[in-house]
Amino acid sequence: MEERIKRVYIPMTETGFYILFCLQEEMHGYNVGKKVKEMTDGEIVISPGTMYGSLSKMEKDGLIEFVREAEKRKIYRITELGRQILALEQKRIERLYRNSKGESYHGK
Amino acid sequence: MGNKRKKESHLFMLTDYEKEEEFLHRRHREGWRLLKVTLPGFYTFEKCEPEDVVYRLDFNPQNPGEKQSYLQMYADYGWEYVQDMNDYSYFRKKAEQVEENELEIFSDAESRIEMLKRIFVKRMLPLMLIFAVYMMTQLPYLLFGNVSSGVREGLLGVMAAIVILYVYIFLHCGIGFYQLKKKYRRGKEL
Repeated sequence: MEERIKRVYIPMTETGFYILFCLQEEMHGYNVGKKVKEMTDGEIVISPGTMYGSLSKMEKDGLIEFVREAEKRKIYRITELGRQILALEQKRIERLYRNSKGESYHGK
Repeated sequence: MGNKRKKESHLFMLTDYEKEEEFLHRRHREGWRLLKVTLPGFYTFEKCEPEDVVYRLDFNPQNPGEKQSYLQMYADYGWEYVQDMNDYSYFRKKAEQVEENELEIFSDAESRIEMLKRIFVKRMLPLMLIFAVYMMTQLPYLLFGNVSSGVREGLLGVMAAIVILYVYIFLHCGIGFYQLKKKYRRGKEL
């Protein structure tokens, strides 16, 4: 994995994390936004400009790929590189979470 | 047709898009709905019921093939697309019974700063380049070229006017870029 990609995406913004997480299933941008809203009890709203920009950037960097267009909406899914980044991020967050609870956890 | 119309001109510079949004919001609340922008700074309004409708401008020039899905995304989020002008896309949405976070087109500081960067690279840099080329080609000619003193003075006068105009634009936008970036960064820390 390129160092640049790691530097840009780890640690990830909350928006970035949820988008990548949701795209483990094929989905278009608006549905990603809706799902994130549900998952976070309405607390995290990803606005269209931010959604559009994040998807374009992640596509350009090869974390997600365009699958097909359905009724003018672009459907994306995660790539192998995206999965690797997501896994690294999940481990980091898990460590952060465990340590924040005062449990000793050094897992990488 | 039918509805009464009015034209109005109001100049907003590259970094004044938030002021422009507020201007259009105010007009709509006064009962004047934006019909079209014919040139940057030239607006046509149509009489309507006064309403709380927010306007948002996005600067995100795409390839023609991308435009449809871009607009569809905004439509899904409940934004009505008005038009494009100078690569700014104009959107609006009724504010009534809508949560505040759904009246924004950006939800984090990063994406707001990204838009500033796009404006800087695609609008501000070309302006600076044109200015630099103009100065480099005209100045030597004026200072050392074989022209009569009357012509020289005339051309120097024109150049002085252009320089003053450019300096004003650069200062205005430079300060604008700086302040917006600072504001977005601060928002992030809160």
